[in-house]
Amino acid sequence: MAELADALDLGSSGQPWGFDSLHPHHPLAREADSTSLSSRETNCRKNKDIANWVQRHAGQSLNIWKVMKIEIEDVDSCNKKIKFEIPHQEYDKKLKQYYQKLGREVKVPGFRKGKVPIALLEKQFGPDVKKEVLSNLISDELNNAIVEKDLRAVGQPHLLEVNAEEGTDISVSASIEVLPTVELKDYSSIELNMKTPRITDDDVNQTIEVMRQRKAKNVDVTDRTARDKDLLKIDFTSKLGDEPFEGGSATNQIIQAGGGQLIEGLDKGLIGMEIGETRDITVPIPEDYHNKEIAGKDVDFQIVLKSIQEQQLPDLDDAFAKSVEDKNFASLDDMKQKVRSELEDFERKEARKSVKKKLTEKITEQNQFDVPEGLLKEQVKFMVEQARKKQGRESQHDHSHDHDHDHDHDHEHGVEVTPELLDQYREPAMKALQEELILDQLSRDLDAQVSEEELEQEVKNMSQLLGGGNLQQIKREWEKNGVLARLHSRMKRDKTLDAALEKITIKEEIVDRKDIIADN
Amino acid sequence: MDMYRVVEKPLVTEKGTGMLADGNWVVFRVNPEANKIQIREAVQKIFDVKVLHVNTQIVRGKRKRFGKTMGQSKMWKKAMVQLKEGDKIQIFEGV
Repeated sequence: MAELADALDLGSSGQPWGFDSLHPHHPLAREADSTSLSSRETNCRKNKDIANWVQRHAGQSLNIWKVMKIEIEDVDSCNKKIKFEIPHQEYDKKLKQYYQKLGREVKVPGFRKGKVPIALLEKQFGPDVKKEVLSNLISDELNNAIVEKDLRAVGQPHLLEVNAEEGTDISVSASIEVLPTVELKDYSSIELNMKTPRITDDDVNQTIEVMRQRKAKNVDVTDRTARDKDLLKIDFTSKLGDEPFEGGSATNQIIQAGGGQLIEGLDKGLIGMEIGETRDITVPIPEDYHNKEIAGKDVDFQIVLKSIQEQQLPDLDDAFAKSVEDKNFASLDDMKQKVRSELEDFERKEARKSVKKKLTEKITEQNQFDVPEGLLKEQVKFMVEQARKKQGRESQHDHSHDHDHDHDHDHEHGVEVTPELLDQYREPAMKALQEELILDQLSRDLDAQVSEEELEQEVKNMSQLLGGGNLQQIKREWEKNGVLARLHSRMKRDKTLDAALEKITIKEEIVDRKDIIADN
Repeated sequence: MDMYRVVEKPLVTEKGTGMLADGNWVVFRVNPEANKIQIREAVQKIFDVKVLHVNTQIVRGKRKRFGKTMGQSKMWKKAMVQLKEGDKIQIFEGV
């Protein structure tokens, strides 16, 4: 329809756009005057082209205009029936276009490419072409109808009836599932509690402790025996019974005593050793150990301790505060303060997130409606796929195994939605879809939009988190694999809920952390 | 000669289509031994049409090479037959 408007406008402003009719003050005319004859001619030709184009397109658009006689019948809130007729002239036109295109492509013996008469093509390919043209035409018109009537269609329309006979108009009726229009009930009366955990000194100290550990230095120690948490450099050989086995020996291996990276019992056994001491330890290997050869058996280790290193944490003082990178703490007090406010910020955000989730649930509870069956199936399929993928990942962690698994996995992507699966997932799928639809409606009600700039900013932030790189390139890549779209919808969702939170009553309170945990 | 051995097959080609449109000419591949009279009789009998003119032409075989060995495709006889105005042969019609 936009095409029609554009075309008509152009036509009215300069219908016989010949060169002669241009007024002298017209920029194009002046330009032409000062230039050579040949460029005048091109100008002239260009104008005529435009006029032709206008006429051609105006005609075409009018044709499309004429085509649509669409009737919509409501079956229920999610199902609609569309009926419309396609004039046979339209069909003939499409058929001719198709033959012309076909004629350029097919090769028939006795004819040069593109020189095959249409009559011959009709004889050879007639039935197929007709079928194809008809189905194309119907699906095109169906899409047009959906756009024109502003239906929010889900999935593919389902053809019910097509009456097509040579020389008569084609009448089509189809059923289609649409997104139900959701009329949101008033939600401004919702009251929600937002509980933010109080940040205690303990929390702050813990965070600082983590920073200290990151700054810890390893210092060689020679004057004592190995203690828990020490880093030990060892050589070891091991035997299963009397036989050494593969991977059972190493030199200059650095391990942490009591760190739990090694088989239990082994690192405990190292505690108390002196440098240079050799010790024999027998360790029972747990049943689920990754090396199947020795799992569940007793292994004799012979270990030589070569050196001991101790982790030394930096002192808690201003110097340490200043040494923390990227933070610019001025002093220890400043550090404590900033860490506290960061933690508070974080907790507030988390609290807000959970309030948003609660709000979504509340609104969904308030507004119950049906979801199109087709959409539900899609959702179930999606959920099943997600679940299987997760399962696949977990099982991949568990065993070391062959490559075939990945192949199997690829095949699993086309999950068949069986009635059992549908039953199993119906509830959560329904809920997810309702939430989705409600948020969609909410975003429209509240007019929450995510602008290009905001999206750009978010992409920037995320790409920095992921280690930088070419922004444009990242954006292109994300656009291709759908990350950008997901990001966009997530941001929109967030913004919508932000706006919605403004409308409801939120009781903020700061509580102890354990209360929140008990609450959930 | 048996008339079904005279006319071997119809030729539907770009040029032939033009000739059909211009002067109701149809083109066949015919037995090289057949003469114009035999061709006329055969076409009239088989397709139940009235033949005005028959032009014939020997189409020389093309030389084809398969690696070292030279080969030659067979020569054949082409016959262009003009039908009476209004007479038609279904094979040559588009639909």
